[in-house]
Amino acid sequence: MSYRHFMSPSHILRIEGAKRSSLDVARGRVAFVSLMIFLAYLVVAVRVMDVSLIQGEFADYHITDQMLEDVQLKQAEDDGNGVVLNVPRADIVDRNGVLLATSLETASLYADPYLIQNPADVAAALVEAMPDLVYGDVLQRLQRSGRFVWIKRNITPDEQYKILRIGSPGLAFKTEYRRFYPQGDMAAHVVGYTNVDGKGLVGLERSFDNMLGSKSDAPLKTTIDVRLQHVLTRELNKAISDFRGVGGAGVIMDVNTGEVLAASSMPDFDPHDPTSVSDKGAAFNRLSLGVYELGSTFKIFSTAAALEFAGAALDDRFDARKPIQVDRFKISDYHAEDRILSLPEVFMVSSNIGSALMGKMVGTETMERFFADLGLLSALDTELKEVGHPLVPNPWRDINTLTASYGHGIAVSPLQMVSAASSIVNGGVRVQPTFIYNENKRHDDAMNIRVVSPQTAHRMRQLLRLVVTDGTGANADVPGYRVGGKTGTAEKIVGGQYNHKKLISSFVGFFPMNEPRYAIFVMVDEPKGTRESFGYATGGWVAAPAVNRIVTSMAAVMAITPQPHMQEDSLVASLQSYINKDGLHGAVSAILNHGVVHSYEDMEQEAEGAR
Amino acid sequence: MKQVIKKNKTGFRFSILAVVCASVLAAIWLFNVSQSVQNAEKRLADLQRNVLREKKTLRVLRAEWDYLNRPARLEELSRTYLDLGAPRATQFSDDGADLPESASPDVPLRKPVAYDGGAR
Repeated sequence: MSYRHFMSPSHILRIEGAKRSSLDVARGRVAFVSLMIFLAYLVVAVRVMDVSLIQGEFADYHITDQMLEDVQLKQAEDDGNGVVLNVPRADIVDRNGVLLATSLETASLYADPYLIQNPADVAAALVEAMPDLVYGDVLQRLQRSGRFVWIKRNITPDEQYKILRIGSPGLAFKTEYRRFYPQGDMAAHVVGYTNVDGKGLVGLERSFDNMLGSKSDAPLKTTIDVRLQHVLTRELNKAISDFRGVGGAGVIMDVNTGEVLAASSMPDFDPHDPTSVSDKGAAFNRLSLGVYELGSTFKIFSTAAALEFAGAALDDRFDARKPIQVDRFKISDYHAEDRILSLPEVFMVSSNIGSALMGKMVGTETMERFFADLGLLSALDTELKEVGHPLVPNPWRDINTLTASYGHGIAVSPLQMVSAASSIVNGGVRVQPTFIYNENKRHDDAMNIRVVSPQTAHRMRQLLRLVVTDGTGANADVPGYRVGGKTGTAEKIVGGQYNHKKLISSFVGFFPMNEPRYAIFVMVDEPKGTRESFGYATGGWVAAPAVNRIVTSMAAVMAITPQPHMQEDSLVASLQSYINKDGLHGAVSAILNHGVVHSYEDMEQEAEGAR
Repeated sequence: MKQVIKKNKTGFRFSILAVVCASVLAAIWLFNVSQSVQNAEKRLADLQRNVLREKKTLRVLRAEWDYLNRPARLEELSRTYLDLGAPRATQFSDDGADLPESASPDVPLRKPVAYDGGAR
């Protein structure tokens, strides 16, 4: 069966060949053209149905939303896993990925004054919707001549709803990204804040402004742990309010890596509300930017120097019976013991005289070099830009060595002191505080600088533990966690003079002392004594209890298993024989009488003889 | 002769018809393809829009989640609704014999009494 046979069955009569009239041809053509026109109309009709009925049916979203999203879609890139949301500024997260700062879309209200018929009514309605606006101001803006004027940026969804209800054609929204800080004022000084245009002004927002703004999707991971940050902030605030201080600072740091787990400076601020930032110097970071004479915590350095460089032994004794008088300076003890103290005792009771004598043993040149090795003589090198430059005696004379030995005449930032102390306690390797989590850097030993020998580091661990078991830091003791540390109480300089009433009281603690992991520092600015502290406002009464509570909470948060009670004091057991428990009038043990006695006069005479 | 002419004539007409049919078919097919491409593109755009919207929502939800899980708030909630405190060093034991035989059926929901471990 052929094709032709199928198309022209034999029973249809056909005029063929020349007999076919031209009329038939014309008729055929007319029919053909009609068919084509009909088809064309059909196509149009079908398309109209398609567009109006079929496709129109499913357009269920507002045309403006869709257009807005289409614009965003055009800007969005596809990374293979679907479209990437182009957030203008990367997030900042803590070490566990909890958001510290994020950017969210908010609507901003603007007006086209040209389209507003009755500015007075619209302004009244706007003020009703957003009571924080001022009527006169809004009216003035609505009457301007341009076609674009901001009314309010970053409004809430609720406000947006109310404005849509006004229904004025001249009001419109522009979506913008705004920085949010879910943790509020926690770690505000570390995280920082941005201005309305998304420029970082303080903290990590400032230090990493370019990186955060480079549209990279990866968040900036800090070393902060919000749980510990909360514990630190809570206890620091409690210490400040209990002792009616004007401010304070605190830090929890890993002594081996230098990672800052929590950092706080009080008073702090709400990063959402830049007006609160300018108040009372709240943006001032007392932890890293403020420099203070920190007092006795510096005895960690002078004692370590005496052990490391001056060959001091535990049975060396220091004559603390009378104050040292050098020129117009007089060095005396806060808690005067009026006796000859062994080296552990000097550290334990925090004797200024004993520490000054150790400084004299070490010598000015060695001491200055040691302080430089510990990073105490230059500004801290860390990710924050808010770092204070230490105030160092210039020129550094012998008397400065004596006063620096117990933390006077030299002002450093608290974070700097904690890093230096951690460098000794961790086994003698210099650590730098860091705020950025970096898995690779943690295992990088190439950068290690040794500041003291492991032997000296071990001695210092013992001595720091002794301060808490038997000395001025007793309030910091948490059974089972072997806290060690050193108290510090310094008088502030007001108008060029030391003021006895205005103190800087601090405590730097470490735990667990047999293998230190964490350094905890609490400082209160101008604490006042209370009835509970028997009127004392010293580091041992103000800051040590706060460190105690921080260690207790930290242990629970981080699930640190306590040490069995029996092994508790093995660290200090060997030191006990160097301590005269009964003070001046008690029996003096044989060992106590054994060592060399250092007194200022003898040392001066020796120096004279050498000359 | 007649046969040849007839053959030629009908052959000519059918080829035109075939071409017209083919072009109509091609046009329909092309229309179909272009429609399905348009539909696919529309669907893609819709999906991407949805993905974008979901991603935005996720960002907001994440921020809200971390806001609601602020340690200060959790502490306040636990103080209000739970009678539990932080464990103390004295409440730890490394001796298995200290553990109770099995979990007692009713664990009273109250603050644990400090166990001093007989140390003091």
